[in-house]
Amino acid sequence: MAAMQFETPPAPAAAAPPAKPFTKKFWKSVRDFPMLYLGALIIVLLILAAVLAPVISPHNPTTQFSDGLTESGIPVGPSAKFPLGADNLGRDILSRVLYGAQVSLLVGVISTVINLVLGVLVGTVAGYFGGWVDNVLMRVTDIILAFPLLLFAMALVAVLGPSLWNVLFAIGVLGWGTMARVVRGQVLAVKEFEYVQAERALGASNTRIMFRVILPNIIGPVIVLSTLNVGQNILVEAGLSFLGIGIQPPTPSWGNMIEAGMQTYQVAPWTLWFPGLALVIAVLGFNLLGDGLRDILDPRNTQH
Amino acid sequence: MAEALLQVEDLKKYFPIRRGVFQRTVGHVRAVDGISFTVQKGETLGVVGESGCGKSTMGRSILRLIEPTSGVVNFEGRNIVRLRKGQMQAMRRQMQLVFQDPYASLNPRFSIAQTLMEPMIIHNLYGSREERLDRVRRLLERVGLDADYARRYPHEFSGGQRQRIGIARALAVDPKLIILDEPVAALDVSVQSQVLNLLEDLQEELGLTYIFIAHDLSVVRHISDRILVLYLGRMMELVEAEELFADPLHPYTQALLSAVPVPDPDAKRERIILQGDLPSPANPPSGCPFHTRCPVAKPVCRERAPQWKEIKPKHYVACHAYA
Amino acid sequence: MYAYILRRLFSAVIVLFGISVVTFLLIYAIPADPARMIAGPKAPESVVLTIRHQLGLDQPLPLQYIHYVWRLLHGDLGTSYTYNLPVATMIVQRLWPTAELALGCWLAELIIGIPLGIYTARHARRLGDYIVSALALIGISLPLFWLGLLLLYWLAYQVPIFPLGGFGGLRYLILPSLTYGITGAAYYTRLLKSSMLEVMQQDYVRTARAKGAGESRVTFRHVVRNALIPVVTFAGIDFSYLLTGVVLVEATFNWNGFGSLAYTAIQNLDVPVIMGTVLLVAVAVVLFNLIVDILYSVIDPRIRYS
Repeated sequence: MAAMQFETPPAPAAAAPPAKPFTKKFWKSVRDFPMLYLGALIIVLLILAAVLAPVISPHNPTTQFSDGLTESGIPVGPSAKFPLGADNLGRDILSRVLYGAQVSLLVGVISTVINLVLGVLVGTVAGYFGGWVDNVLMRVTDIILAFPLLLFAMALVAVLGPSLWNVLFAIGVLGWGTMARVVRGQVLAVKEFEYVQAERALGASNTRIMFRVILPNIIGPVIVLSTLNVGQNILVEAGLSFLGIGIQPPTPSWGNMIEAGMQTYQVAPWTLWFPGLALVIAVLGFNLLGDGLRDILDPRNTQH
Repeated sequence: MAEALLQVEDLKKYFPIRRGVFQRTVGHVRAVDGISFTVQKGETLGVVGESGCGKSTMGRSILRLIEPTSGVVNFEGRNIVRLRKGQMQAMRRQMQLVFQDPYASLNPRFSIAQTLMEPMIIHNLYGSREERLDRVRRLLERVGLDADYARRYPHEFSGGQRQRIGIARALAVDPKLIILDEPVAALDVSVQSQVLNLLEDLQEELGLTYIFIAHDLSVVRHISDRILVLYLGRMMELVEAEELFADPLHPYTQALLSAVPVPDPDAKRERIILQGDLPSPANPPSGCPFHTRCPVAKPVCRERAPQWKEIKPKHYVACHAYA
Repeated sequence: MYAYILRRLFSAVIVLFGISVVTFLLIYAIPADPARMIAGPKAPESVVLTIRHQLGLDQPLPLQYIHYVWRLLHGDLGTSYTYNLPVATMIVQRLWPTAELALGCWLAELIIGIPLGIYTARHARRLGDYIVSALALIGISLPLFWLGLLLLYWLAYQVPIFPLGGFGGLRYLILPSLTYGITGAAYYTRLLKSSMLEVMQQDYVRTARAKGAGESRVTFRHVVRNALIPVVTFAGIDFSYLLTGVVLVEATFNWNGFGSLAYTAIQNLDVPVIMGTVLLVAVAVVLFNLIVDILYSVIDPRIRYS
């Protein structure tokens, strides 16, 4: 993720193409950017799963069914009652996977919003003012980036106590380093454009120039990075829950479901497959969307 | 004599050159090195010199878009170099800038209406959005554009149209002084004269005062009342426009003039080609900065900087040839 | 160049200082009282007070920080509450298994990532490129621990080629390294591809082609060598990912290393061990990046001015 390279900020583009019927344009753009639409589709389905979980789940995700386990205590495999099988306590895996989407989306999106706000603030102020302000803020960013996110979040969640909100808060407060760096670089480039000087010549305040003029012009890379960031943060949450420091059972999270599956996967591999598959598809969705957005925002790829 | 609107005294802008571990200052680029002049109300002062002579830095230092190293800039008798941040921001209503590159100077994310309302919002002019939009339409018409363009975005316009929008933006706050930083240099020749005519009309109509920066004497010839010639951040010659063309005194001005095409095909003229490159302003030549390329340089030119003198009435030159 | 290196060192020292402050503050962030934890829940209050005094926890904060740094500089990371052993010793014991694992993971990334990068660059916008790029995207999206468990299920349980986790010889190293390699290689593949495509546009590559050099010769002699430079810098960033990944890999494969030490310490709220491991990781990241930056500035002089 840190290896991404962004193009220089938007230079004014060529004239808009003549209007075509909407459906035709839509299918052409699907053909031009298949990854983008595949990613968007996955994310829409994910949101539907999370929102509709209480409606479409066949069972309560925390109910332990006695017929979910065989007599020897092994989880039952996929069947009419348990479409994706049951887990080590006889709970319905499909229902837990659907409810798990709520946790992943909530943590992924809200922690990214926190990353976004902090990273954009630090990066914009550092890049715009330069000098000692830049120096101080970038050293703080270096410090944040020196602590590997998962390890640092583990320590912080352990301190705060494992709960959904603490996990989300820890990832949000510790994970903004990359965003700050990318934003700073973009601000440094945009700040040299004459329209920024023009705004200053008009008598605009620094705040207005930073947030009304510069920010809208670097929004592209920020959106791309944020999208990829959601996927990354979902993985960090899953990692924390897998280690037992994140979302606590019985609340279903794909991470703690995999952790539970670790005890039974040799005899009941479906306990491992489905939560992991859900996790991969969700993260893939955000990665596809992020990559697709980058392609669309890269002026070299929009030929008309 | 008319009233002075702007008075610049000994304006300097040195950019530090930093090196080493602690970024120590090891020297300075003398972009603007002691410039003084006065601009009268309603006048146009042309400022001419090769690229890299400090014209743009001078313009931006006067507006404090770049903080000048030293000097005085009196605007209606108030030294704006001393103003505090808030006071300066209010003062920007009085003095505006039009940029060279019409492609880079308009925010691609703002519609034309947003671009033109921005100054009104910043200075809290006109009460409502309707009044502002109305003003936007009138501004567009005044610079010769269709009032319906307000909804469009910069990329839909040609260079000349964009430059008209840039001028409208400068006009939006009713300034007294406009610094035009090579406003037509990036435009096609056919469009240049249209924009120049527009600027002249606006000046007449609104009583504006211009500082017109250009690298080419032919562009400033008609629009300027007086012309200031710069070389390496210093003043070479200052005189009324007609006089400059009729009787250029400084060898540098003569060289610049010889490069201006003359409409008369029979006119006999020798083109003076300057030898060598423009020296670096980080390490300017001693004495007269022009001596390294001057066709009539004398030994004294290397030793002492020439005095700024009124050689003929209202005709100022800095050159040892007239000592 | 020396000016650049000195400045870079200077900022690294500042960052290290910041890291020491953050880890120091961890003690105060953690809700448990260290003195009470050592004394045990049933010890009388007077014992707790004595221990608190011995630990210097009754002194003013800045003074405690100075003591902390002083001890750090002498290699003293404190004593584990749970095991009553010096933290430094505990870390040193775990260092070798983790170093071995990290090296294995890194090599696996390179062995998978670099050839695929060269392949996709040479077959850009052809079927092979699309297939590898899609696989790379899936690789990036895979959770390490899940992939690890799948590989264990297939290659250690169903078809018992490899051991079911644990630490030992090369046989134990292959599955964890492969797991990390599959998820991390994609970064190298993508980076090398875009870097190679850029280099291929350069005049000297066209000249080499124009001279009649064979395609393989051009690729390996001219393109790959120059395209590897950004890949080398990425190794610096990757180091931090590697240390994160190792925690998860160790937990999945029951590898008794540095990561599982940190993990158990966090579960037990064993503050000195948490501080020691977190500090050590952060310092390692800073130093590794410092070395990469300095090496890079020696290889490519342009970087110093950007």
